[in-house]
Amino acid sequence: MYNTLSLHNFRGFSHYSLSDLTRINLFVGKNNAGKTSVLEAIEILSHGGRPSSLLRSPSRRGEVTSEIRDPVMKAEYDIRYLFHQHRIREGSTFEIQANKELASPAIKCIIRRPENEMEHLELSEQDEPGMTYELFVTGPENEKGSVIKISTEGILASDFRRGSTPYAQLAPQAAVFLGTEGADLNILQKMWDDIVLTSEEERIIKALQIIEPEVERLAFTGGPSRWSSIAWIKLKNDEERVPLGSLGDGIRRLLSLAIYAARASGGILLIDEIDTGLHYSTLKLMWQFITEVAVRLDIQVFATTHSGDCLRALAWLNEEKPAYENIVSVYRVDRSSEQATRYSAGEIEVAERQQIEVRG
Amino acid sequence: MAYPKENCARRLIVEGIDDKFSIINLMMRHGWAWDVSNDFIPFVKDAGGVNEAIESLPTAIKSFSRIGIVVDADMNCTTRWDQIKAKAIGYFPKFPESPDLAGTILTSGEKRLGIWLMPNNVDSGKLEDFLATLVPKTDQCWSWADTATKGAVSRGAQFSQGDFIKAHIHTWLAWGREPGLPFGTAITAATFLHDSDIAITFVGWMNALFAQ
Repeated sequence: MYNTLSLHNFRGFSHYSLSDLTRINLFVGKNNAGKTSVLEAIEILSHGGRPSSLLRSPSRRGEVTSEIRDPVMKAEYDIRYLFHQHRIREGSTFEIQANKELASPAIKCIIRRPENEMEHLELSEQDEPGMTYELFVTGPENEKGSVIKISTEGILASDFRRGSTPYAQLAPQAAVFLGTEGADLNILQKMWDDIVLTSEEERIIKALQIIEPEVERLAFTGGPSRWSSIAWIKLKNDEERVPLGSLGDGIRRLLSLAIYAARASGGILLIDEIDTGLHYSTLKLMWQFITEVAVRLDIQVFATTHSGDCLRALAWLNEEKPAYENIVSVYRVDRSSEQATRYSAGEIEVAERQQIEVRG
Repeated sequence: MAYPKENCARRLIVEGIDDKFSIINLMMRHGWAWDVSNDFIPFVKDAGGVNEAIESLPTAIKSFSRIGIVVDADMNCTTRWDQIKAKAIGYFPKFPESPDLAGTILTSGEKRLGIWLMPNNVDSGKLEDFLATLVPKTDQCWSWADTATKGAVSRGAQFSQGDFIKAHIHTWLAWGREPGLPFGTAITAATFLHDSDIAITFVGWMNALFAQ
């Protein structure tokens, strides 16, 4: 588990740190305060400095333009935005560091001129105009570092075989990221394949029962070989199966949370806007599920929310089970300071009773 | 007039509803328009007890720019001071050994913390001891209310000795032009004075903490 995290010149932050991280960490704050950027930093860090990990957040944020030329998809990632003030020049650097029990992993990305610049420039005039910088990334799992060519504008061009990219996130990885857009059903189906008929299956059904107590079974049809997956639910006392989608957004969100959590076993689960699609009355049980699964599967969870109800649910939970005091922290992310303000679960409970707004 | 909302960046934490409206009405008599349009005016939160008030300090300090706490010293001013110190010293490292008689104000970076122990930052006592200083000196019913309250004790009145001043002051208020006014209203109605020495010191502390 990470205990501390610090960011230097990463996205909106020049210097920013978080301390006393716990098993469950919830980031709150105003719009554009940088909550999602903190999740992205943890994602990059936990992938150890592999170059592909740098492209995940630009993909999700739409900082990419792509063009399909069968069978290849050309994508241009605008990686300027990973750097503070959206500006790159020779020497621009961002760093992400953390402390764990016995280690201090760090990712460093630096913009530099290619060593053989003249030669490169000549080449670039012919086939790759504008390619005059390189991005050098190092990390605990990439100690020698990787060099990636980029343009002086910060554009990183990449080719993919069509259809290959979505499943990249199915490779074993240290961190799983559930964004606000939710999970793709094709991905969920692939992940479900690893869960079905294990003891985790029953727990996921229980999670769905938070919203719909009648849920009995879950199955997917369709899938990779066909156009798209469909998730089906069997309700108690109901003859017919029903599509998951017919039960509303909340249950799909819970299914995504539960499957991603199972996937994150022993690693890190990142959830942007954890309460998305969930009615306030279900949030306490959602937290109970997340904390239970995090402890049981040894997952460190980082999540964001805007919702006062989501915080309130956490406060109620702490009132019932004071053990959460040592498991749960809430951080107010706010770029006007250099350190995130940390509240323990007990302090969140006090804030709720005393009408103290912790979200800024 | 609209009171500031709970998300306002300045907060005064008090024990209960009597403290809240005594302070609001006293400050209004000293010229504070208790209105959201005045950006220095704090939200006053009655915490629901002295322990709740003190327990909320760390969360409040993390969340607001200026924080005031007004609690009763009760039996022992030093004990109360040490309880507050234990909660706040992590955020205000230069925490003094004892309260400032003029009301304590501590600063750390952009944050400001004010502490007032009722009645006067040195004696044991409570809000009602502070309000007793606002009873007009010429009022003949005040000493009669004292005698009557003592008489009630000798006849088996149930309140504890620590609450004697509370019983005394409510007895006195029972005989006002409008019997039984709550403290805040009695301050506004000028049943109470507004300018005892200690009240003026308190107002100075409030101004220094929030208005300057």
